[in-house]
Amino acid sequence: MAFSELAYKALQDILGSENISNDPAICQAYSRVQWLPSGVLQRERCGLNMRPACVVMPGCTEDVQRILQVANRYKFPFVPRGSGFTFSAFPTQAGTVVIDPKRMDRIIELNEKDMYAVIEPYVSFVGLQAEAMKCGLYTPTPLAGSQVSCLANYAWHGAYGNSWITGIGAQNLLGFELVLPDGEVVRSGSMACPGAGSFWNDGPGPDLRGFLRSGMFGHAGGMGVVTKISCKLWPYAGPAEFPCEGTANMKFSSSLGENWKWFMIKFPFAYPEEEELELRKSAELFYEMGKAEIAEVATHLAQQFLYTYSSVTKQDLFDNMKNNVFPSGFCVVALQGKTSPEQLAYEERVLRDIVKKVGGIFVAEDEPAYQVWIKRAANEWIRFGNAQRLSRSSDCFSIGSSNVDSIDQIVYEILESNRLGRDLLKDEGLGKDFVQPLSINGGWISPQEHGYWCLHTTDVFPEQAVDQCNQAMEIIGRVTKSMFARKSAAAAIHMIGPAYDFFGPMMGDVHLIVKGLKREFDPRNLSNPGYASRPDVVSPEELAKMMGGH
Amino acid sequence: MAESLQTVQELSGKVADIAGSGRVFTAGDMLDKYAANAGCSRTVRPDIVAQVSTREQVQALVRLANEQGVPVVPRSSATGFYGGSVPEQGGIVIDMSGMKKILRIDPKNRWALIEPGVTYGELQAGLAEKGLTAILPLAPHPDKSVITSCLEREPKLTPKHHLDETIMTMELVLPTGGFFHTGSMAVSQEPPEKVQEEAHTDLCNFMGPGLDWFRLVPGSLGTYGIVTAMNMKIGIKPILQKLVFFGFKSLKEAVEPWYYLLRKLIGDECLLLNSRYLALLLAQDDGDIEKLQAALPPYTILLNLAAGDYRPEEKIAYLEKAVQDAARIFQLQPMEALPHAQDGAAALQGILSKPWDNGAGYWKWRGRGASREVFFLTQLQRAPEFLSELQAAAAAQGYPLADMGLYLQPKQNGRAFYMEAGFPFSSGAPSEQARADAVHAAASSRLVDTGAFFYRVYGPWTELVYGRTGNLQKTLQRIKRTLDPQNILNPGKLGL
Amino acid sequence: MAIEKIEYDATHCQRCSTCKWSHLWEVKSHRFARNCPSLVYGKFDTYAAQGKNDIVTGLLKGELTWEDSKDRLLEIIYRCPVCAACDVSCKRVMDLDIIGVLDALREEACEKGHGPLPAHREFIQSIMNYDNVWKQPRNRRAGWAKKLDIKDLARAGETADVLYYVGCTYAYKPGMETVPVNTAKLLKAAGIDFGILGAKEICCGGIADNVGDKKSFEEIARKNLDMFKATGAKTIVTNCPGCFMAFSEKYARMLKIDTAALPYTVKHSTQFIAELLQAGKLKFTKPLDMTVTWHDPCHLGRRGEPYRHWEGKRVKFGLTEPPREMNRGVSGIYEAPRAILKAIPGLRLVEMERIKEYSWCCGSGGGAKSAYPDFALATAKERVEEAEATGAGSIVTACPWCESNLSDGIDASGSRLRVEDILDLAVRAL
Repeated sequence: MAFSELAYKALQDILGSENISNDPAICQAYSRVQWLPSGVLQRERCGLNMRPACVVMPGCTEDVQRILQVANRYKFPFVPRGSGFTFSAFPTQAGTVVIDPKRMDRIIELNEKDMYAVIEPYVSFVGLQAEAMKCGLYTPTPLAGSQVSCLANYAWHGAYGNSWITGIGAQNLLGFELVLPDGEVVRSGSMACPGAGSFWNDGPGPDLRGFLRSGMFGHAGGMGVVTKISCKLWPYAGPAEFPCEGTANMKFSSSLGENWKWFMIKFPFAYPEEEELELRKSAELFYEMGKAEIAEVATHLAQQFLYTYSSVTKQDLFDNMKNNVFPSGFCVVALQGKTSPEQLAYEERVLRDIVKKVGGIFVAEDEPAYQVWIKRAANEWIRFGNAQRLSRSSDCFSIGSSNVDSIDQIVYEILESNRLGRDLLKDEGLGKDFVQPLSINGGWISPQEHGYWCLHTTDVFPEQAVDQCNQAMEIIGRVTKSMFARKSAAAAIHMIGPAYDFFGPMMGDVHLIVKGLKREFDPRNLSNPGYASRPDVVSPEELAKMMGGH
Repeated sequence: MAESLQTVQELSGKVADIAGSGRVFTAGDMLDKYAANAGCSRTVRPDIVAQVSTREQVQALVRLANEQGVPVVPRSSATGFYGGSVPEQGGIVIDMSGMKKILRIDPKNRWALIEPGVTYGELQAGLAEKGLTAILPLAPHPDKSVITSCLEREPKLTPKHHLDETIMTMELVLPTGGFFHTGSMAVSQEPPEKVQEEAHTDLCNFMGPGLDWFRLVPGSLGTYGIVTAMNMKIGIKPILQKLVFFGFKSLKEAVEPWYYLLRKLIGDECLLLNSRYLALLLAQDDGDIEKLQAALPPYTILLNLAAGDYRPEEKIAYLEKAVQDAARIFQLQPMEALPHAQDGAAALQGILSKPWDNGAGYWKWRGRGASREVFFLTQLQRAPEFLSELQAAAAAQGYPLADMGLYLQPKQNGRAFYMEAGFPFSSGAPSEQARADAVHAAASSRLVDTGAFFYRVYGPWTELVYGRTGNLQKTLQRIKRTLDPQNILNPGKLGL
Repeated sequence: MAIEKIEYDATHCQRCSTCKWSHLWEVKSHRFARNCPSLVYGKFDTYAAQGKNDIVTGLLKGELTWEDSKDRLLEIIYRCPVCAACDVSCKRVMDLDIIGVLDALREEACEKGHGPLPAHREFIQSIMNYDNVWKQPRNRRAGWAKKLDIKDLARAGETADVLYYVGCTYAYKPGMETVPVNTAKLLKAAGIDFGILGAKEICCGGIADNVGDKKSFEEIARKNLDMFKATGAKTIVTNCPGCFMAFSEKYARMLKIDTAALPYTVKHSTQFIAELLQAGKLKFTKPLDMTVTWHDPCHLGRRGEPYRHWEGKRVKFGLTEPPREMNRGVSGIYEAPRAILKAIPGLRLVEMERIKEYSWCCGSGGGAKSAYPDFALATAKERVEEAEATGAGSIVTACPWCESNLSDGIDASGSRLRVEDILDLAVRAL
């Protein structure tokens, strides 16, 4: 449906002419997602339909309500977004309005005693982090980088450098305020109760976070617009502020002070020939650390992350690969002395006991791997997640496989996806033009909440060319097909958008439940229609084809 | 279309076909037993009670209920406290408290997969031999089902962040009668204990699919689905433990030191009890309660220092030093024993590690027989304010303040605190019950007005809370409408 | 099309929004976490580097045309001080030539005849007519130097080691003549053999290049190069960072050589004075009881890096062949002015949050002040607020455009801050 002039005028009356634009030049900046192969292909497929009919900038919740009321009156679709990074933050059909929250950028409250903050959609992690650190607290920092919207990340998906402690985005969200697709506001948690403050999440009664979010992802704006959240902050024993070391200290990242200690641990196995042994030993390390309840960071980084995140320039990245700085994956552990120096010392002794027990070896400080990772990237892993440096190698990347389950199952999934990736490369040449060996040597193990569960992603690094992006999608499709064939837990998390129709029947007809909720709350299908269970981007038939008729 | 059954007898016949004839009740004391809960006044008899023993029976009953348009009320515990399993609109109570299988224990990934009727005592027994422990609330009733406790969001004794939400995957019977597996259990439709035989999963992803059921179902009082199996996080039994106590004359005095202890992550299990509640827990006999209460500090923080396999003595040593540092900063006197409570520390270690097992009844009812509790969440810095409200409400009704119990439980390292006030009364005295009910009502109303967060919504709190939360109840209703188009599951609860 | 040369850079923007925030390492508060004046003022993403990348991509792919939206395109392109804060932030994670994209868009606008804007054309025409941007008579250019007995290197036979180049604004703007006067005092005090071009000095031409008029720029630049050669001076010292950047970076770029290969060395006055202090040729003895904060001018700092010429192409994965060393703001001039301030007895330097190559632009560069005075003023007010937050009584800088715009910002804010030129302070401390 074309976006009507009447609708535009109504929005203009609400927001003021300076906060709305349908100028093609303005709208062009909201039309492109390039870092993902699926984004590239989405662009190819949807073309100019990805350019919104107009962009609106609400300044408060009431503005958002009115925008959505106008949307319902004139029946135009809208897409809410945070910083607009991820592939779901873009229109997929003509006549869509993008809601840019840039004017809603307040940290409304930062409660040092009760360790939470209340924020609006355009507050970035980096701003919140700076304020939190002043109070002896800190936020998790997403791998996408702290320049992204904290609210959007928690409502959508986020994994963090310190997930060993914090869990993922879902675990960091407290209460929220949501403008439903019809323009009504609902608040959850203590935020819903007058005078109760915003410190808590569940209830009253059922926890509406269960409605807002799902699995790895949220509904990508398919159930309305989140206009406020409260979120967790975590005890932090590092510097409140960091000196400006600019001139862009390209080699070393600021120390987190004497209450933090970093370690890298390796295992004496040949890589990639003995990859399985290395991963299983890493798993054993994390299981023991979980039982001992030590550490602030515990993760296994594969070459993919090690090279990209520690790189200073693209040439540096490729030089490091050429020089085999990271001949394998490594486990990275950080200890934080939150209780006392004695606690830090104790945890180090225990870590050494565990490493010895599982047959690990501490990487010496003068080894290239330590110098490059710990000195350059480790502290950034905590402070702000390294930003989009994952793209650095080929200016594009995609998650090739992902899983959430136990540490052992994550190791299993990594091995399967690496094996499959290598087979596809060898037998069919899929990915031959990608950055190798980065694209077949995945192995990010991210244990969560002291190892009670675990997350991984392995990525592929094509260039931003349609044929390579198609190859990337083919690889992803084959991996997904393999997950279902193997009945891997990984299959349970790939539920977003068109995947619902295809996979839903295998999972208790969940697609019908989600579609039912979508119909209930958004009967006109106006709230990000492409991403809440409607197959507008990839049809079930195409998905079936990708899955090889599985 | 299924034949519509007009009489309870006809319906109970169909129910008996599913549950077995000796397991279905339509009259008498049995219905009275399911009409009431210990902690609430309201009684509503169901029409039929079905005691089931398999998940298939649960599913079949829900399907029958959908065919007939009859309400179904799930119940997992042999005892109920706040009316969650008391019907609002009659119907069939499905009693799963007899489903007592511990289906699987995974020591490596630290979870246990259990059926709805498994109690904490049964679970602890199953875990103990493996050196494991359930993540316990405070001295739960021996008949309390673990799953009920998780679904009701009873606070855990440990404030550790990662042990606050303990639910992992679940099998649900949806209101429309289908089985539904949540989280990584979703990759197989086999019965929960068989899922891992055919699928590559360790049941450790609790999120999705479609919705985060592990958040939506708890607190829903069985209105969104019936849990027929759940795996939840468990812990490792400590090798070494030591209880430390801090006594305070007022709650206000405890606030800053406690913030400090929690921010510094000192210790494991951590709670505050007033002298009444502590005496109820500790007294050897009911007759000792008053004397013990008079000897104990008005408010006591119990802090358990615990260590596992790795250098346990060293861990206890650094924790003790941290306690000493805290004591110095706040001029506290940490105690390793409690006045007039012989072996109090050892006794409390026992109490904190298992369900209540000191004789008949329940510790909160000792000396009286029954109790009303008001509980909510708060920020610690507001707890003294809410305590004043509770005391004022009690005093206004002539309730003896010395009888009032108080329990504060930090959650997630002190991000929030569960606060509970107990008002015991003599179960055989209608006037005392009436007074306790009046205190409960007055305190609840006052607390909601002043911003206490009633996160669990039972009975009279439904209107009190949802009357102030804008569109929240309406949103829950809309979700309910989608999941349960015929409004079969526990209708009326939460006003849904 | 000018934008074809930066096609890779624009089309490979990841849309990560790193360009919109101060370097993540350096953010010290939520309040002062932003880095892009264009975006803060314009709000829509289009005004950020990411938006401009999308504009380029749109123009290249034919999704967007000048006809669609000419006025808005010009606003997007020119309501930007081209301060390169976006470029520095982006390069933290990627290897894209963001400043090249901004420059190319301006060049494209001029190529198509849509740019530069009328206010810019005025400047350029003034240069052509009067050899300065202020439409002032040539013979008044060296008015500040009267009675100062400074060598006139434009005279035949006159030579010196150092050519002191004053620049249009310091030469002509009322109130700013103290800067060249004080510079001359400092050079004399240090015993430096220097001279000026006097009335023969002409505009550096930087402004023409800034707005995309490469042709006019080249014409002016070549005149200057001939004049410099004629003086025989090996070192050019200038106060104006715009001129500094022109001589150091833009001229080298035009000639397609490295800055190091230019026939002269160019230094900003703060660099030169700092070296003199270091060598003991200058000494500050009079204390100044002041608390000041230093504002890093963009063209001195992140845009003041030497130019490294590169001709090559992007190959697989976006690597460059031959390998290209990109400027990342690292080697701008940050320490020299701070060394001067720290050498002044009694003076206390307190830093703002956004400093060095993460500095918040004053808002006047790139032709923004002349074409979009409201934008420039708003940007300056942001900086004034940041300066006030330090508790300093003065904001010190070394750029006539910064000084002018910050003064306007102070007046508009009602702030009690004073703007000081660093060399004025230096002379007071001599």
